[in-house]
Amino acid sequence: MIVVQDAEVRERELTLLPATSFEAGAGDAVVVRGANGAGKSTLLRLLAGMRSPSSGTVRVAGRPVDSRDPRTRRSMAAMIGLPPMAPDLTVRDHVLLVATTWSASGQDAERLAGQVLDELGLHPLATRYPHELSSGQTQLFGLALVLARPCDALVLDEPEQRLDADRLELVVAAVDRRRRAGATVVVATHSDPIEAGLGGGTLRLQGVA
Amino acid sequence: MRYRPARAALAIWNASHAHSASDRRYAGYLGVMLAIVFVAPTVRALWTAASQPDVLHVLVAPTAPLVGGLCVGGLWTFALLLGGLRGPALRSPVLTYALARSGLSRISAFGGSVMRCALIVTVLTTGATGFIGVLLASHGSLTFGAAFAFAVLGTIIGVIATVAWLTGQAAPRAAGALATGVVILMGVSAISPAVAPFTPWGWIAAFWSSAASPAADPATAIRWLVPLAACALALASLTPWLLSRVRTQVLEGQSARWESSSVHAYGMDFSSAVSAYQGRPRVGRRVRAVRAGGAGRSGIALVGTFVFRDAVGATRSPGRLAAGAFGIAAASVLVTIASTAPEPGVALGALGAFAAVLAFAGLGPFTDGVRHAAAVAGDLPLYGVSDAQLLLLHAAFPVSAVLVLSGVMAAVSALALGISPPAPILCAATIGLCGVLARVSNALKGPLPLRLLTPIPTPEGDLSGAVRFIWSIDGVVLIACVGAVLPLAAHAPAWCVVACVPLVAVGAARWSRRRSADR
Repeated sequence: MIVVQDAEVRERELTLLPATSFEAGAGDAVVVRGANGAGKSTLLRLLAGMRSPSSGTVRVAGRPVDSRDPRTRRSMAAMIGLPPMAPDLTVRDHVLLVATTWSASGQDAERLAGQVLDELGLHPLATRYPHELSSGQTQLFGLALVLARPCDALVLDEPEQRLDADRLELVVAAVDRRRRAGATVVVATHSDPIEAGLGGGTLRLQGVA
Repeated sequence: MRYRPARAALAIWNASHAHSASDRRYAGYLGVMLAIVFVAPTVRALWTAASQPDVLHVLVAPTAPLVGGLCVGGLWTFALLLGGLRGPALRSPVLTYALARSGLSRISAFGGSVMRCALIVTVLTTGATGFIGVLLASHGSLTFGAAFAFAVLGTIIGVIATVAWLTGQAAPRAAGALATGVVILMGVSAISPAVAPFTPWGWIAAFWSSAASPAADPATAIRWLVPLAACALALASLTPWLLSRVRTQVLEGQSARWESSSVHAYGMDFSSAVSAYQGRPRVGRRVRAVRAGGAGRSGIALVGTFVFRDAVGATRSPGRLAAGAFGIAAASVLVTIASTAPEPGVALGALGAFAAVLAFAGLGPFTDGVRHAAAVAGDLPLYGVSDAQLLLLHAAFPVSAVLVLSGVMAAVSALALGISPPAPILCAATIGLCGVLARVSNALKGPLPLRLLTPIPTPEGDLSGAVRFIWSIDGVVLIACVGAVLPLAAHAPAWCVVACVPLVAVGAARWSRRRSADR
């Protein structure tokens, strides 16, 4: 599903991501670890199509990644930082709206949105506006928006940010559920529980000190 | 000598932010230059414009005192409401935190800030009424003694306005109710003159009527200032009590918001500066804005879903939505008036430009969805539709709302003016659509492009600041150009196309670069 071959990112004389290679198939999880500045987020940006490698290749489902390509948009769900949130929608409205644009029917959308809110324990916050959420709740809400859509590959950058241990367990379970359903999961993290919870391989980036 | 902790704390703060002697000299130089280059010519232009017979005729008309009194009532109402957003008791966030959470009294900690605001407001109101008084006196409609009394009236108005402003900060809810009461009473006194002598704006009107005559007895006119001055003194004596009522959270919240807004404004990011004061939705959370039902992803069903979502989202800030709708409606009436021009002219062009800017401002609450679509377009894919489709889906609500609102208002005002409705309707609708386009372009604007920070040396100085300023308000400038020309479509159709081209071109360029960092 995901094939990264000697992908390197340079910015003038700086190396943001040293040459990196890995492969992950359907149902695989790859946990990317490394010190701050090692290139974890840069690698995820390559996978999400937010930037191109200076050398090497990145292919998802056999194609180069291009976020404007409808096939890439359909197969790749990514959260690198919080997604844009509409200030005039409640948590439930917003998750349902995202689900509606991906679902074949309204019933499917309602079911999907309800399932995501359940998974992340967001039902009690369903009628809150984004500005009424705490920072941890906002992180969960951002994850809910990304998980409210179908995907073949799920890319998450430090999903553990601002979450307590209980919420972290919910997130690990939700992500692992998608992995078991066949999605390829790539998560950059500093969290041991996420690495242990998702299993799979660990890619350690050394960076260029 | 008695130790005053608040004064000592402020002295430490001021010392740490003290400017060097050269900075102070430069600030003085800038002040003098500003007075010579901007203030003096503006006052002179105002004087010249106000000295026109048409304007003087309005100022000495029998209805002028009543209108003047009601304007002052409006000013006090505005001050009451403004206090809830930004009150006169305001210091920097650090000082506010240190002083508001200390054991110091509010008057010792924030009295200086209130006094400074009172001084500014009073100087402005005294200047305004003094200007009117001297203008009327120099044209023989008033004695110079009465002109001085006009200036005194301005001082009284300023003091009352400052107390109203502080009241809004100390008790925002009560101030809202009070403002509503003032507006109702103003309406009643405008309809029923018998009520006016019992209201402050009625006293102002009575003073103006008594004073605005060369044969008037100054003593009679000044008699009306006595109750006003008594009111001002009584209200001013409440200042320490009002200050003690201002809550710490209000002080800190307003201080942080003002600081953030000032930083954005200083960086010429006026949209962010204004959005700091934008009301957040708090009502309608139980109303479901998204009803998937049997919809799914089919085209028409999605349009319905997004229009409904945007409409419900807008109604969740009802005051903001009502103000926006009023702005669009008022703009349509002005466009209708401008489109009656028998031939192109500067005044009607200015009216059209003002109407277009008003429509642009009114579209703010209708285009929250457009701004969200623009934010998503510059980020990772979130929705199951393309960026262009998402933008079009979110544009459906403001487009339909502006077409209905401007069309209806243009038709009604055209019929009221006795002119044929099709041309004004077309004009108002086109300006509305261009307003939506300008909003889209603004939403796609992104941060200030780095290339605009490059100095542009000229014999007159560095012009890069002016370029950055124009960039920051380009939406307003472009829509004003469209508004200035469009009502004159019958006389110069080619110019209408020319005026719309930059708006479309800028929007298209921003769309094509929506994912690049340097937009």
